[in-house]
Amino acid sequence: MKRVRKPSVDIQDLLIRIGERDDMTAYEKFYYHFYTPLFNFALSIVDSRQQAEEIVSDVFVKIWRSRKTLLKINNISTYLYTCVRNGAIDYLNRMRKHEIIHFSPTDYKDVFIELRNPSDHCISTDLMKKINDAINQLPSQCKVIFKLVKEDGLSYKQVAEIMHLSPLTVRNQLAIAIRRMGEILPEHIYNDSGSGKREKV
Amino acid sequence: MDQQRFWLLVSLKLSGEATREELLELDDLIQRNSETGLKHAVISGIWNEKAPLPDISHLFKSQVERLRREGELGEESIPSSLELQDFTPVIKRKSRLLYLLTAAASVIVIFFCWKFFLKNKTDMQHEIPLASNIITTQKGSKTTVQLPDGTKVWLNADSRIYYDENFKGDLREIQLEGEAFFEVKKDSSRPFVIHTSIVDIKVLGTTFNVKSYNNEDATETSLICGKVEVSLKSNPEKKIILRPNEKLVVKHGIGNEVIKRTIGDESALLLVKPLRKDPAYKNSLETLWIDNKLVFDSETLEEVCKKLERWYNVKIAIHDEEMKKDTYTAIFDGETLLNVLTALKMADKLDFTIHNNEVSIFAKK
Repeated sequence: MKRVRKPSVDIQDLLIRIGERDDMTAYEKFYYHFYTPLFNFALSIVDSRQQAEEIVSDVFVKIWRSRKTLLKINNISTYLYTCVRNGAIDYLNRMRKHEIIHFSPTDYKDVFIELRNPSDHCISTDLMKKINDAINQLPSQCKVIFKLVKEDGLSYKQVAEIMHLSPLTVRNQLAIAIRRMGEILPEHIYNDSGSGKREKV
Repeated sequence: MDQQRFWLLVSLKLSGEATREELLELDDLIQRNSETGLKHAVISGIWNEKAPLPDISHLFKSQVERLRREGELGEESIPSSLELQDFTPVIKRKSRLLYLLTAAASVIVIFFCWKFFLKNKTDMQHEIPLASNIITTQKGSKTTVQLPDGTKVWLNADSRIYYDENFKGDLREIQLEGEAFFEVKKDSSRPFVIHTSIVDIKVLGTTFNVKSYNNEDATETSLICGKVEVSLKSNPEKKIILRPNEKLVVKHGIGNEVIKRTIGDESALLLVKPLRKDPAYKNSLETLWIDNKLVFDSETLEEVCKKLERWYNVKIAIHDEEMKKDTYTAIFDGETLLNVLTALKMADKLDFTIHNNEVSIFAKK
């Protein structure tokens, strides 16, 4: 039942077209598919938007330069995120001049998560705000995991590899995030939120 | 129940990582406790709402410029037809797709029109065998009721709903004549179905308005939130899914004259439109009636009078054919009939008299 972000894009096909035919249209599609998730991930390591843009741009330049060998890469998603992570940590190191930092899980920036009212269930805006508040109070690493799995549709294994964690940690962190959301829901959702329901208009 | 285990299973399911055994275990937990099922459904609903993607076409342009600057794009790799300004961002392509979809939708509408008129008219009117309970409102009155399953219904003037004793069976079915606003209690195992003479509306748990007066020329289904599936009585296999803040207008269109008109304009038989809003009010115009506001949204005098008749329980006669098609837009909040008519009189060229419950409207001298 996994919902892939954009099932209509056949990444493998794009890589072939980019690699064999220097196909700019395929490169454009590839860019549109990955840019926003990669940019958001970069923003969880560096705190300047401009810097995050630059890091991701570097990765796409790299992709174009190595287009002839892209098909040899095992998992292109994992590869892209790993490039972004490395680029971002390089940047942090340059900022600190000679002092090489070891990037630890607690070093992730506090990303903001904005969950949206579901389209097939009515819950009040007030309840939705409480859920958002709860999710945003989680530790930053947990929020980054949550985003990668929810928004980008990555598997636990991919997230584990990108973030240098064990898949079990990813699984536990995600369970914590979901439980935190679930615990906000009142026992009787519809009775408790009845007054706010029509406010969704 | 072990809450921690339950939410772990939910998280595994949502991220697509659950094994078959874990899915079965989750189903089992939900079976044994209906409230957890609802919670699971709400969290899944939130999970499945993806963040919107920003427009990044300008960023792609700078990316290509950068590649060119760094000498990565040999002249031969850019066909002259693909000059930079010609790169159509994906976002814009979507609008072309949308155009195609619109075209496809028109074809469907045409198809519906055919079906609509080819079908025998008695077919359309066939009733469902239910209804041991009837709730009805007279002209000039409104009411709210709670159905046995907890669904709340606001019933507008001159309307009726019929339903079976306890909603037995796999479906919760009601028959509606007139206008009603529904807050349907969620029960995924038993869909809620509203039958009108023109459409059937199937929902799980949502908030929406249905207007289906036999003496008006269209049946409207307006969705506030959630999801509804509408099928035409004349062609039950075709389903129209509405999204929040959309309404489906099905013209009752009698006579061939209607088909001949261009599809896609206001006279099409089947239209999906956005709900209408007035910045001064929180709710859409379609549902303001439940807050006791009388709304005319560019409606003809004829339609206005039908509404007034129901709202104030009066008889209205328009004595000037030419005026019938004049349109009015207004929102009245708890006004008397006299005040409403006076406002119409001030706004336009009409005049009126009231004798007991009978109103006459004629052109201003």
